[in-house]
Amino acid sequence: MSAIKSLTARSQYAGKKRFSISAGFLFVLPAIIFVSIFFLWPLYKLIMMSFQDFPLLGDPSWIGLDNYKEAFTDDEFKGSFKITVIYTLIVTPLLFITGLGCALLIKGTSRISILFRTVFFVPVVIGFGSAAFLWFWFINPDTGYLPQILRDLGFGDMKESWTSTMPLALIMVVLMVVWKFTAFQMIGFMTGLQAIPQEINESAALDGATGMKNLRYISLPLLRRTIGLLLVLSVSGSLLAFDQFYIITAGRPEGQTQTIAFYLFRQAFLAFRLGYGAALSVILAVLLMIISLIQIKLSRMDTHE
Amino acid sequence: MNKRKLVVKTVAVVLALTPFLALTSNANAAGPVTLTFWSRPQGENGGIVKQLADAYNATHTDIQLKITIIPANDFVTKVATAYQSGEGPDLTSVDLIYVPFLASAGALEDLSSLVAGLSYKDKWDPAHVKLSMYNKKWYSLPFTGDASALFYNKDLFKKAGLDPEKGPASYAEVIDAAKKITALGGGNKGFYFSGACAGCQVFTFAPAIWASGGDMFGPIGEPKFTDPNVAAGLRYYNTMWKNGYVPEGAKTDDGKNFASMFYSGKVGMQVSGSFMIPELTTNHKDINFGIVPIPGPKKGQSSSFNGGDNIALLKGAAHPAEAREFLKWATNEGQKVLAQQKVLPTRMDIAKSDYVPQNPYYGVFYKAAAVGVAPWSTVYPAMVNDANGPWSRLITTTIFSGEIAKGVAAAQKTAEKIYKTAKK
Amino acid sequence: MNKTKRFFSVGPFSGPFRGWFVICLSLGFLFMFPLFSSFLTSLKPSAAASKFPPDYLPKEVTINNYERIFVPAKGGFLEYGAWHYTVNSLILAFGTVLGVSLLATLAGYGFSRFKFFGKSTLFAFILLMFMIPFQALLVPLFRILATFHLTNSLLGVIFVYITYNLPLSVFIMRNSFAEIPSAFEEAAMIDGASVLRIFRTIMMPLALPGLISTALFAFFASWNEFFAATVFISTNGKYPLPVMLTLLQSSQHGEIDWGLMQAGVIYTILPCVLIFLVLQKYYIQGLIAGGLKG
Repeated sequence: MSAIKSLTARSQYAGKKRFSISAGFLFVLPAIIFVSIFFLWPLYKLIMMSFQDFPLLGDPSWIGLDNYKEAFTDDEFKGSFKITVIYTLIVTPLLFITGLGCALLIKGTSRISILFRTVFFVPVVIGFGSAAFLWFWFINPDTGYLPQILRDLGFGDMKESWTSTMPLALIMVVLMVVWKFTAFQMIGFMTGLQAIPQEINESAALDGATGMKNLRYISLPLLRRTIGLLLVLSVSGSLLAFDQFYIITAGRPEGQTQTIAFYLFRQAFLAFRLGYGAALSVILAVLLMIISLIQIKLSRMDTHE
Repeated sequence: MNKRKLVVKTVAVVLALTPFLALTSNANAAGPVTLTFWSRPQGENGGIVKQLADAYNATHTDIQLKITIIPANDFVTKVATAYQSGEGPDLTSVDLIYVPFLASAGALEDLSSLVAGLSYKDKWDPAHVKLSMYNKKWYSLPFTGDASALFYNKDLFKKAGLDPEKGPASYAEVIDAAKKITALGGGNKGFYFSGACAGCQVFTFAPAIWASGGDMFGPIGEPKFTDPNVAAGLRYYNTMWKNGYVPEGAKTDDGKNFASMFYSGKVGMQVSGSFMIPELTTNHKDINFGIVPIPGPKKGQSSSFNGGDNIALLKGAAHPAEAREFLKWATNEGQKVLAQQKVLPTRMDIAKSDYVPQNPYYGVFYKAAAVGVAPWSTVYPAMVNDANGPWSRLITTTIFSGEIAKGVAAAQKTAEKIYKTAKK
Repeated sequence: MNKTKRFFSVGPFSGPFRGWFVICLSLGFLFMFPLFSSFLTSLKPSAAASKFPPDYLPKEVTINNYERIFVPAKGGFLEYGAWHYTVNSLILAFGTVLGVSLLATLAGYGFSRFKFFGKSTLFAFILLMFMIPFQALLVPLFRILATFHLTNSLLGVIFVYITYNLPLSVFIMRNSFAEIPSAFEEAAMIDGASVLRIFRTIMMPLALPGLISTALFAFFASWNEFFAATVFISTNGKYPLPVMLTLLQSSQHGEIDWGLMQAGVIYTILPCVLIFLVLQKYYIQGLIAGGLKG
């Protein structure tokens, strides 16, 4: 370690340029090695697979763009596309609102605020699979507590499973995701809000901009980069959503809650068509890249400061 | 010099990690040949394969079995992936319906010559034999059985004026019994099935179609949803549904309530497997039940889904000769171990002598196994198990909507699309 | 006035309003209720846990569900109780945390402080990982692990986990280091401090929250991961906890044993919650430092 550090010293602070390139590179090298071997290499293979008829077992064969052609005429894929987009469009603003709302509530520095912050955050730290299983039980019409509460409140006998009709099935999953991730967005907003200098808020208050006005004209615009980041994470997470649908609805009813990632999983591991699944993955990835780029560009359109 | 320090540090880190290397696969020791054998959980506590292995290991010094149990849902993925990289096991117990897929992909050894030398090769049940074969060759051997039959509540039958000692023997008799039991009121319903569970329905409902000799699939898995017997079976269930002989929850039950409805004592009839017997006799003693074969449209017709596992030798296994020895044992003495552990053997003779006498109910399952069927398809998961596949869509909709012709046509179309991608 | 200032910093919606406490309490209850009810259910005997309709509070409290996790059933196929598999999970988790911490800190420092050839490209590769669904890469990954003879080994799984935790971690560490003005280092250099000393006394403490949250993320991710573990590991004794619990549940024929399932869920969740509670100060601070400021 001290070897590298000496290199660093010489390069960075004494300005010997010829070391700076290799020093920086050396620092990132271990990570890059891992990424290359365990991500880029399989990714390369995946892309190759997408141009092949690649069964889970047996010999693959090259078929060029046939998988992609099939994807564009595949009704089920299109359906999964639709539901994934709908899901993303619902979850993203919802999390935004709940996250912002909670942040506004507990952005104070008092002990109580911190306590509440911790409590709200607990669902974030439990594993995603565990959370999905938990929710799966929680809404179960026979043994779950949520239907029982509604029953006791007089909303009917709740015998029918909520994951077997639309839009209830989707709502259940959305509910779980909001429950789990609100606090994450909350922390994001909270730190962004705390970063806004007091003076700005104080002078705004003097001009009469408090509450909603402050939010609209002062705080939110200043939170642009935070919002941008949270959006990217939220949208890409939603577009890739799989576990929650696999565990809670299993694509029911009739495949209407089958997201792209779920359909891809089925093609690869149930239909044993890895080549087709690979093509679908590539399409999904390209989609994500485009969307992320757009979002980053939008949030970087810096305001007049 | 600085770079050398770096190298030293790297080496130190690597050495620090070597204890973890001990966790990687080990080299074999000399001594008995170890066969690796994978299976999903089977039997009452999931442990039957382990018990079998213990029994074998205790009596054999030259060959020892090493078992790995794998969650059922991921089983084929795991075996296939491992096999493709040369990391698969020697032997595998696999749900019989996956054998055609594995065989068609060339992963399994041809066992035809082994079978030819077995004295008991004609003693296996028909379903397992059919599923063992691909292109007329044997690629696996029958291993464990799991047949379905019709359970009925004797007390409800009596109350409804039906003979409690005679279960229904045809579609008409089932419908009639369901009608009478539902008429008793008090929340009693005549019949139950898990309407949203494709796998359950192929176990419980499909036999009603097979009993008449019909089938949704041809001998090599060609879709035949347009077979009139299929429509007849759908109509049979639909009749019971639309007349209210079936609890509402059936429509959306994805298997969660598969057993519990019958246990509640308010359901007159339900098709299920032998695994319900211990539950009933231990935890629900108040239910007086009988079991009969699953009836077909006409009296005297019956069928069953005989599932369970087959056992196969993977290509490239390290010790094929020893593995074949074990295969012989598994299909012979091993079957007796199965019977003792209350698992239905696939050897019909051993089933009769060792399994049936243990419990008065087992005789029905033995008979069911003798006429049992299992669908043969190289794309079984996509065709049958997939909650979004043609079978599932068909039974989860038409039984309740009654739009049978439409549903059948749609299923046939989807199935044909899938069949096109299947290896024949 | 002072009390107000203590509750809220000035900003949108400053000052506590009536009902603030009630609202926060209700929200807190809403967030915790599913967890709490799961816990209650795990304490019910099986029959009660699977009863319809469910009772809110257990009529009879038992730890039988937990016992069944820890003590392998006779005639079952699991040789060990949950503790053995927990140890496997701990090995995976600590290996991942160690590897990620090391690699991400180095890489984060490199990305934040140096210019070098291909820097943006390399960073982009790391971010690319956010865009590919992990299960798609499972089969190619297995083949690659097989090439290195790392299949059926916890080390192989650790390597995979390390790699897939790198994007977020590198991102966090890079931002953590970027926060530290280089003026600090330069001033210390002028004062004659060695680079190692600078790293130890200045950089690390300031980046520590980022490091801790990196470590925590890595822990949570590897502790809960199931699918890759199932495919890569082929010996029952090496299974981590999530796989063991799935096996336990799937071996129950027919009905789901809800009490057992909840016990499994609670047992899996517990370490995550405990660790979070202990380290939450750092964790949240780390998220802040790590990039949520944008």
